[in-house]
Amino acid sequence: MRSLHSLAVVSLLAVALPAQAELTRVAKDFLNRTKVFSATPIMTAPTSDGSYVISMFLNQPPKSKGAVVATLRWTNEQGAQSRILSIQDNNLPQGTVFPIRVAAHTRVTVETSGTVGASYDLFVRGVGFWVPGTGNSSLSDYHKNLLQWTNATYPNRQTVFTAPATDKSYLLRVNINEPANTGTDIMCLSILSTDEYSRSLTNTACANLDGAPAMMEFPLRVKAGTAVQLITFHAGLPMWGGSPTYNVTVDVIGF
Amino acid sequence: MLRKLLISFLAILALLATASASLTEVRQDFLNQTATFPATNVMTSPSADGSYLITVYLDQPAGGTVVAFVAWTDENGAPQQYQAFDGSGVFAVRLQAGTALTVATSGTVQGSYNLFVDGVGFWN
Repeated sequence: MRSLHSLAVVSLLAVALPAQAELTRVAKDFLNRTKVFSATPIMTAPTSDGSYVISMFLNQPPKSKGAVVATLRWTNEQGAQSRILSIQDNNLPQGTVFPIRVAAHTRVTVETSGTVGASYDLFVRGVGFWVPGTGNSSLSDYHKNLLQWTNATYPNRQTVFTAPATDKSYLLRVNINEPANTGTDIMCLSILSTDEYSRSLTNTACANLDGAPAMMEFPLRVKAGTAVQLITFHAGLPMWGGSPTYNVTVDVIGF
Repeated sequence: MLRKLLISFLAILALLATASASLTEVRQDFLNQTATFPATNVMTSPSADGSYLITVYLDQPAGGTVVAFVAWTDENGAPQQYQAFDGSGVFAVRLQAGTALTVATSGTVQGSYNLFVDGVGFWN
């Protein structure tokens, strides 16, 4: 009877768990770097060709005057590929998101070059699609939708999520749309966050009158215990008040 | 015995409910294609309006001019399209319940090409 019970439990797990294990996490942080560094693997080489979406987020402390370039290198079915992300001396963090294909048994590396100010941070995060053995599946997610809204939230903010007790990396997917209309009232959305150096960051998108959705995909580094919020407003003045019907969806992957 | 099974079943259900079940995977590979193809479903249509982060990645030899078009219907019933001019891209999709997310290719094929459409579905 005990073996029957075990068999039943194992069978149930076997049926239920694969849906959880499809997505794997890629995470490699380079914190408080005072020098550039040479090519460093960001994950274990896959045993078969694999697809990933990768984000890079490059930051430096306020008043640091570095001009650092991060270069991600990988090999796909066609050969060697690379992508760069640079931060200038304006102190604003930079982020990018892009898909890559990685050939089996090849390395994905990141390196930096340029001039370092006081220090800099680089976060490489990503999701692997059905690529076993290159990461783990401990991804978390958050969602915030404003569906069929007819008012600007301005001046009030809506919380998308609050970061836990440690600084963390996230990938955001944002969409705002309003049905095609002949009016002139365009609704906009800002995502408000606080980075690891306590700087306030704003990412903004505005809907289109022809009904085409406005989309943003970007990585964020969020200071421990701070909230990531959204606010919607009219592109013209006043920023508050009744609006055309619009939809906002914000989805977040936490690494 | 039955009680034990029931308890185990409920425990597993509880475990699954608290796991990150709200992220689902989208994956459709088109390998070694020697011709362009018409609109083809990428995944099963959702039963409720859904949010996705979709990536497109096109590998083709020099000389090929294949372009991929991803098309869908948004929650307002409006047709939308993303064209991966430079071969790859990441974009957000709101997909109306019961409608399809499709991909099609056009252009000149040089030898063969691979197209990968991947993504994450977000569910509350």
